[in-house]
Amino acid sequence: MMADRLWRWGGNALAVFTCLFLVLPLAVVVLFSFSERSFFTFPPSGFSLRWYQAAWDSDLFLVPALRSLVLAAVATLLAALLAVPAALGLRRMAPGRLRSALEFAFLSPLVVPALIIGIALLYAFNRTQLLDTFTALVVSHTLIVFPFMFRAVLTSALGLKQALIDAAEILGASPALTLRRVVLPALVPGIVAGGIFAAIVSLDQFTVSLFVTQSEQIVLPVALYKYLFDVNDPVAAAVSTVLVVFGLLAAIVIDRLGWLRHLAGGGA
Amino acid sequence: MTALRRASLPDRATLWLALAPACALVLLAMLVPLAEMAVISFRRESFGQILPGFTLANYASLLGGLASLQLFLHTFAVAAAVTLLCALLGFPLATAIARAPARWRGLLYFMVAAPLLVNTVVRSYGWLLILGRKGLLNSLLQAAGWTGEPLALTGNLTGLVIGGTQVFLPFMVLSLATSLLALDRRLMESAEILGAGPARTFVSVTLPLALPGLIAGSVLVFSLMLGAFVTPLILGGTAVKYLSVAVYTDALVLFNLPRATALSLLLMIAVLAVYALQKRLTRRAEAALA
Repeated sequence: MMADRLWRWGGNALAVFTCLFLVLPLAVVVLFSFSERSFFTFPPSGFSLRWYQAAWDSDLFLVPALRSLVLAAVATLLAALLAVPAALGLRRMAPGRLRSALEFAFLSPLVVPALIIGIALLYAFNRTQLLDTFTALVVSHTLIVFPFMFRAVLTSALGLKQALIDAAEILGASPALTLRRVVLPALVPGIVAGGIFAAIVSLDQFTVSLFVTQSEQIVLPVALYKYLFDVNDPVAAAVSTVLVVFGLLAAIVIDRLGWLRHLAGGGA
Repeated sequence: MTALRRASLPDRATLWLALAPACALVLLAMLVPLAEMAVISFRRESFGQILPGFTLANYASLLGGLASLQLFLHTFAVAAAVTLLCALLGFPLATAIARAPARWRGLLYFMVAAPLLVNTVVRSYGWLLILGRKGLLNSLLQAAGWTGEPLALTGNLTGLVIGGTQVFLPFMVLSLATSLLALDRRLMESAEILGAGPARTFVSVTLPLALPGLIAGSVLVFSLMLGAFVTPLILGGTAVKYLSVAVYTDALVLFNLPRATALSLLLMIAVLAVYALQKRLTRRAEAALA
């Protein structure tokens, strides 16, 4: 009995420890951002908002942050424009080798590590004079987020009942009207889910962005990394805290939608 | 009638037109650059310039050299350590999630998944503040008088293992929890009624049944850690012996693109091999359960 109780207690204690382990680095960053001193001390002393002021005043973060947001929106939109016809096309194909191969190809940017995509694109963009341009960012981010969008839209497309399309056409609807009034509305849940995941993946993407930009077109995570290694004062913590808050807000939204536990399908 | 015929006749041209844009994206933005990269890995370079010709020297020096052997060993050992730690820490938490009443389960899921939505640079920075020379952990250890000198926990593989474990742990927990939630609780209950203690029930009932989830989670964590770049770069620094960091140093610091691409391809083969292994392992685990 003693051993049983020990087993149970040990398990629960380890579960609590693991929860703390998961949130500890986030808590430390938030704590440090309000520090009065420019270096880390524990226990923290004083309270100050001046690092937030400094982050806002410096021109190092605002433009990259806006660029990250625009990039995420553009890449998500482009991925949707490519994924919807692709998913509808696959839906009409008979199951078989070709369809599996295409499906695998569309999901493959998820399997290849971002670092390797980054190196390959670094060379490709360097040769085509596109390195450090917004175009390079858009192309690489569209590629990275495409599998997330495609997977979500495909699920919706495969769930669409053929009977509905047939009914619309028998009732005299043109293919264009059927597409607009029957097919696309059925894909909306997939597009929304895929869009949220795609935007998150784009905002989190650091590796590929680092390789395809130099100084002109850097995005927020890269700006943060460069600041960390040039200056490393709590300004980095203040910027990070803003990202923690946005991450938690996104988590709350996704939790409300009931998708939180499906998050593990992603990549890093 | 025309509508019916239209619906039943697959229009090949439209079909391929629908698939073409996505195919073009994957082909032009990924497959062609990867193929070019493979070509470069067989070239020579001199002062950052890639020379024409064909050579196996990049691979020969990578596969034959003691330094690169050490690099591969370190990388695989770190990824294995991270996977093991994720499994050890993840199992109790996933069990707690599976056992918790619905209300608590939501909260636990939130705590596990929310860190995934915070940028990896931020999470690694948090570990830098904790593990640094004057970081949280060293301050606490020195205040308690357990260590005189601050421990070196960053700029080496220790920090990488700790940071990597936190970054990838949610994948393991979510995978295990899905597997555990699908289990029939009556199996565990019967084991306990028949007199098996919780430890025995775990080893002979829960663990074998949760094996598919454990394998899926382990493969995911292992392959993600093999290819991980952000955490190794921030917590290890450019001096650390880690494959992804070495690729970065070769490409952007030493401008030796042939070596960097050769190294990347070896890394990619390793990652793909892990995925292929997973397919076989899951099939075998499912066959064993059936």
